Amino acid sequence: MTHAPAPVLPHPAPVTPAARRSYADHGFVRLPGLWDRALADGIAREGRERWPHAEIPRHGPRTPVTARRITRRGTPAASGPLLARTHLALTGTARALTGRLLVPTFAAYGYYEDDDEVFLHIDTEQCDLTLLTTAFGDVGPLHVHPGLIGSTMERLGELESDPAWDRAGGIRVGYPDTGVTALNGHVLPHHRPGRPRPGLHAVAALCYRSLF
Amino acid sequence: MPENPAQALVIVDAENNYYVLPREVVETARAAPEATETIREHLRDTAHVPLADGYSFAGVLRLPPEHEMAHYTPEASWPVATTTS
Repeated sequence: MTHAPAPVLPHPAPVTPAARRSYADHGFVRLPGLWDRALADGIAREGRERWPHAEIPRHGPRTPVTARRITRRGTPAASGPLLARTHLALTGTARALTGRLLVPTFAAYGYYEDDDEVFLHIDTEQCDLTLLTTAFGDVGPLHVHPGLIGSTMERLGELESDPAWDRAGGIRVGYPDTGVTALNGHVLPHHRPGRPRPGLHAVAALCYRSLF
Repeated sequence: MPENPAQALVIVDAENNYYVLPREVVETARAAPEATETIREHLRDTAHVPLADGYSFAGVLRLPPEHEMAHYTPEASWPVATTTS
């Protein structure tokens, strides 16, 4: 029996001044090319292997919506050792991007089966910085809403419950699979409108919070 | 004429490399007031060395490894909707 060689974890990547400025100005920035194809394949493999162990998490942002708005159960999530190592290896990149003494909080695969909808929310205080990558499959772009910064979760839930709210609105942000989209997730509201996506797909989220 | 405000803090290392920290970057690193005591506890060679413009050098922070993982959990978290009633 042969084993694939262990993927090389990302080295602390230099963050360009342009990336720092973009993150500071807009609350998000794409950082492609942080790791090679082998690590991307390793994350995809681990993500698929962990799917049978995925559960609806007990914790995470909770968007309060009307009962008729809920169309499916929550998003199952699971962690994995390769993702955890990648998470820790990117701590320096996270600090360089934000200028803050961030520490890792959690990393998880979030699984979408046949639909990739995410309700409008801000991330919890575990996520002063959220790094998002495509683990496997084809998950649609996140829509970020700078105009809703400062809104409470209750307000975001009201919008989600309002049939007239434009679910196609916001700035669309995709995620690379050999890198991340960095998101100021605890501040910048975001959602994914959702569309039929046959099969199983997964996003990986790596969260960090400020130590002080 | 208003006084020209300082745009950046500049530090220099032992190899004479200069680091220019714009005021905005310094401001993003402002610690929560309640963290002050913890920061002081972990400053190496604590010394309030006056710099300029009201800033002082307070020391070099060296945290034990457990602080790096103080908020880490292997438990996954993900957004979920709840019903309002």
